[in-house]
Amino acid sequence: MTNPTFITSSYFPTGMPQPDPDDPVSAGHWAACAEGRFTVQRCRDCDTAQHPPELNCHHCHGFDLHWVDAAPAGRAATGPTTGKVWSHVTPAHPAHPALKDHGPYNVSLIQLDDVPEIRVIGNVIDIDPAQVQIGLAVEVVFERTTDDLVQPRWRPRDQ
Amino acid sequence: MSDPDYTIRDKVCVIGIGETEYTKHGAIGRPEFRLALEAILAACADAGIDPRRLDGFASYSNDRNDANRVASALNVPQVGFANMVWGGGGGGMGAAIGNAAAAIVGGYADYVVVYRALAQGEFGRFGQSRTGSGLRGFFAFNIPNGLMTPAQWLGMQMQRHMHEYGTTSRQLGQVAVACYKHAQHNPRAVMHGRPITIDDHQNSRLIADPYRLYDCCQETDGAAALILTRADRARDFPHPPVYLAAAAQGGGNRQGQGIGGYFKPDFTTSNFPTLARRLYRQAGLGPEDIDVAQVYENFTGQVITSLEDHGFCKVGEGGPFVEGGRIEHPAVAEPDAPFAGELPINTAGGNLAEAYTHGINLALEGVRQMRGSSTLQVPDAHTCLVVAGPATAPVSNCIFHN
Repeated sequence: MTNPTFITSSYFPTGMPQPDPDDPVSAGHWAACAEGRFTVQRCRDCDTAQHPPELNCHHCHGFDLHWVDAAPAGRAATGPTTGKVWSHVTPAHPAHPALKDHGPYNVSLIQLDDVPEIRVIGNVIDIDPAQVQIGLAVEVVFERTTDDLVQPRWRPRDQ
Repeated sequence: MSDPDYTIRDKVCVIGIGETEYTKHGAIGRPEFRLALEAILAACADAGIDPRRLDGFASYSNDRNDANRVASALNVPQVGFANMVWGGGGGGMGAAIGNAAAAIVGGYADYVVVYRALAQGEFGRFGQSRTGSGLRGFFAFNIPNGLMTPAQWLGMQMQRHMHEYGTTSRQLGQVAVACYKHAQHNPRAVMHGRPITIDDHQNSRLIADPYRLYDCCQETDGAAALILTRADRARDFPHPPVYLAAAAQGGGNRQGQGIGGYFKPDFTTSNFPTLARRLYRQAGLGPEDIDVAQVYENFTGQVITSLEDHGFCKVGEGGPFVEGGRIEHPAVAEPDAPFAGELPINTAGGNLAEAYTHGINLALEGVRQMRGSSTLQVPDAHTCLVVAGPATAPVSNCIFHN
């Protein structure tokens, strides 16, 4: 299996808000990120994928959900989860004390190649935010943001 | 719903409107609860009724001014209806009006006040995230990524609209210019005396690209209120009655999950398509019958998508639609504007240039247009569409007529 990429740089300054890694709705997602896997929630009964996660399946209303690599069977062995930028925004005005004097950054909505019904919010790194365009091909990398939390980031492919 | 026995159509009218002055955030110098009372008392005076006759209270956006405290402060003998619409922002403004009407038609209350008060100076500003760690649910998937404010959430949505349909920043700017032009005729407007040009818009700083400063609503202090009662009493009050033709609220599939609607099937809508169908059917009207519109601007792009959602143009054509003076009052459009005044919007300046009270000021302007008392009156206007906050469902809308 291709080893996941853990980056050592930080996309944001310290002091940014963080998820609760023990939130029962999303704990499985954060646990997988810590192992370098990008997962989406799926229903064991009807196999529907959904995001953001919920306590039940929106399709069949069952409660038996689990976290599955965002790739078809076997593909996880060949490389990282990939996607395309569906839309993006470049915040410039700092909206949190941690971002004061930080400057513009990217936030993108990323459509997953292998689960195209899912769009996830993420940051495209290693590129000038002004150069990010809809359709940009990206792949997931992982950044440890706190002692108990690893966040996915996305970088342009073929660089 | 098409059965006339099962609608509110024409069964309720607005008999009074009232508001405080509007100021920049933090400048009004009085507590928010007092602002709410001032607006309600002004609306009662406008209607010519004793405030103790109020027996219904409706608001939205988690208004801090609890109906029970208001009712006690006014010493009303009984409360028959007290109601709050789910959700923050301005999405519930038309819904609060619709709920007031439903309460009256349903026999819960006779005189219902719809109110909203906002003192950001007293309670802190919008557009800032103060959250720390421990985020749960949906917020765990956007705020840690720096996606924290409505301008950012909805800028992401508009970026996709621009990509799919070629909508331009200059077209967004046309919305801002129209609202600022209209505000110059309205002495109540915070931006009265401060007109902007399209170049001012284009040169304003980026808040969350594609949104610039002049794409964003203001931050202001103020309060406003409307009083509704049964239409069969319409002639008992000083002002010409303004009837409620229809009101709708809610949203479509997955439109209430996350303010940006990142996961809904149709990403670029402002969530009104299902409501607009119900609204027009209830009113027995269509977009071609609307003489003037008040369309909530949290951001300029959401006006464009709201106009699309309400059928004034096809989906994707909202950008060109707002050009050529079409959304400007004929008195302020450029002399050579090809479509001047075809659908004037936000004739008092709206959220961008009059005040930002989560849109209730737009409803008051709708009433004034139907009374014939606007500072920028649309000639022969008989119908006014009011569109409340386009963002996360529930959103809402209503139609007034005279």
